[in-house]
Amino acid sequence: MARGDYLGEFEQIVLLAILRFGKHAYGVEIWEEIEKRTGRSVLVGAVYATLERLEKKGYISSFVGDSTPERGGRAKRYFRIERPGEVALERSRKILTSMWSGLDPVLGNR
Amino acid sequence: MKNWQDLIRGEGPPHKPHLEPPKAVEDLLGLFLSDEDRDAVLGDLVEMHDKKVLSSRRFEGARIWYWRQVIFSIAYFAWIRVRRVAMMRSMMRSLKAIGVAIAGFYVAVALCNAMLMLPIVLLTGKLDGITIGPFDTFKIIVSGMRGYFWQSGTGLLLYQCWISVVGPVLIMAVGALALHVLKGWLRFLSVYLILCASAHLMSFVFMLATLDDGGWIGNWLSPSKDLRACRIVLSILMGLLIIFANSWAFQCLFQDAANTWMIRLGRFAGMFLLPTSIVPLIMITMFWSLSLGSPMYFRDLWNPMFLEIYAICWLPGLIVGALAMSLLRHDGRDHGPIAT
Repeated sequence: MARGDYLGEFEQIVLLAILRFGKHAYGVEIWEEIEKRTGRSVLVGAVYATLERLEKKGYISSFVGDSTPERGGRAKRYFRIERPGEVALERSRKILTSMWSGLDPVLGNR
Repeated sequence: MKNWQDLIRGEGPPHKPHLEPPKAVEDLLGLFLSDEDRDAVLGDLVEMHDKKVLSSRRFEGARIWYWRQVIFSIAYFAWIRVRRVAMMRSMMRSLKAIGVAIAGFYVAVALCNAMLMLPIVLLTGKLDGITIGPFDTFKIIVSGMRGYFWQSGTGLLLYQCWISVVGPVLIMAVGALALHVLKGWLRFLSVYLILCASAHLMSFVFMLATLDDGGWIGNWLSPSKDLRACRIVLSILMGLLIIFANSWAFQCLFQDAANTWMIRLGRFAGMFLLPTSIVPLIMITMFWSLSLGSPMYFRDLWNPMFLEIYAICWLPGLIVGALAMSLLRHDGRDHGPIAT
């Protein structure tokens, strides 16, 4: 596995947030989902920088929708997970599951 | 059948009163946003701002939130923008290629020389007059340029031919074969070996073409010893020939499809020109000066002959390479370890 294939923590979070919306999600949905589930405040810049990086890796694709009045006439940009993104997420989950396995007693003793 | 992009066109929550976020902050962030991001990011911020106002009923709190988002996100968007600019991408790729080449060059030269010296040591059983190490190559070239090359008998001549031509060509051939098979760091090593051998061969050809007495080729082409024009033409032609032959080989090895061959050739010439021009230029200058231990050599580097070599053979290579890398856009394909 090449070095670039590893998913960072925030990359995983963003991918999972998109995945929660099924086929596609736009910035605000992803942003809110991350804040709601992680309980931490997230910068729009950090979200978009990660989305841009994931798109460059081919894990997600994006498309600009039409403009909407509630956003001051500005268009939404929708993101969708592609097959390589799903594979990368699955791989990350397997790695983490493998690393966590058998550690519950160790952590429980502390 | 419509695709998912078409299906979501025009989709969105119902219209609600729009509460304007601070305009000045919006303009400030707009400076750092690319055209493709501007609408989406500013729209998201406006939408979130409205939600904050509606949920907390505190307009000032939402304003502070908006300010914080913009100020701390500027660096992210500036970085995204820099990465997207083709010229900047090319420059970063160039710097990476140069860094990789310089870092690996010393090791590769040492490996090359060790491989080249081994048969000689095995045959002669001695190391008299032979120094195994990265400086050796350049000592030989310099001694050749000083005119000793041609006066030392057949043995030395064969030795020089092995060191300067046959060996590098063999290494390049083995390296090219290895590139087909190997991956990862071994693939990188193959690239280094090819770069090193190419630079080695190029240096030798330049030496032949620029010797004070014209060298073999110069004497053959210009019996009248009017060598200046001859040297210039030979230097350019041979340098270009080797560079483009290598570029073509690299392109065939790394690329599997698409694009016009001219663009592919140009890009690879650019990517190959930079490491094969800058690295020998720096290394030869440095090694000549250091390994000969002659302070005179620093002065000699300003000798018109050397300046001629640099100006005619190397600098155009750098310029063409830099231009090629900047102008020819990356197509997102895998171009091998140098390009990625």
